[in-house]
Amino acid sequence: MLTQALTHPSALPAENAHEGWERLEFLGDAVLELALSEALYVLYPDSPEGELTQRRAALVNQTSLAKKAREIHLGEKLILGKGEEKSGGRNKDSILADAMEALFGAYFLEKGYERAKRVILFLFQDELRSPYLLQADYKSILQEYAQKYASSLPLYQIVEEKGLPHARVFVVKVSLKGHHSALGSGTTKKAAEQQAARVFLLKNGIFKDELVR
Amino acid sequence: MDEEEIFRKVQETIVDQLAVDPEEVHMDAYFLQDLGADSFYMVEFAEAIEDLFGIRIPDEDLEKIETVGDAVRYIKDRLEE
Repeated sequence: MLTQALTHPSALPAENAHEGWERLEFLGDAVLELALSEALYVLYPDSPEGELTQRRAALVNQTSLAKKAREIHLGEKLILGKGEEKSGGRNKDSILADAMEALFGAYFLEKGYERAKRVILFLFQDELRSPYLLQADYKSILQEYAQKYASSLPLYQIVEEKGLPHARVFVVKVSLKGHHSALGSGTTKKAAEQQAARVFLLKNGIFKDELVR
Repeated sequence: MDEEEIFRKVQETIVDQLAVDPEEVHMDAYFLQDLGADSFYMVEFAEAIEDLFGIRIPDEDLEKIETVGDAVRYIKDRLEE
């Protein structure tokens, strides 16, 4: 089972590709989401569904899973096809993340859900308890909120550009009908928009103060 | 239970679970670097210790256990509570 979880389909002849990790990855993804959803549900009793979804997405994504895979040196244990090996697959986020999911799938089948859940919660304990939304995409959160609860979409405008050419600071205003507008600044337009969306979510009480950095 | 007795039980558990030599499992041995353990193993170790000593190890405590000695001292403290 473990060997299967570590075998990339590219390492097998086409007719046996199903003996690679993809099926276990499918299962592992579900185990991971269930364990973390339950933990988030319990840890954040006052958070709305959208925020819980966002929190889970910040935990279960290619980047974070690849990071966990590197922590346990999963790359060196993988069985890859020649092509993947040559193109540096061992250290690719996409491959490491998939293998990590497959590993959880295999572990779940072998040891049961309770044990798998404990490993997952142990591995993700810091991220789970972080009061902040890690790598949160505030613009997406605001966009989703507007689609659900407002009659229009948020509008982002640059209201100021200051600083020297190599150290620009952008100030962006975000407004949405029926809500307080908010300002955000950053060294790129994108960062300023994120910051503005964050302030907007706080100012309009869509997010609780202590949750958002 | 004194430290020596706890150590013997911990050592026996680790030797069984990780199939390492008893002499490798000393108080200063690091789980990750010296014994080849990983996070998956640490949870299995915690569950075995919990059954053996009748204590519960929260994840935030488990994370701080780096050496065999850390585990032994942690168990001793918890048993004395």
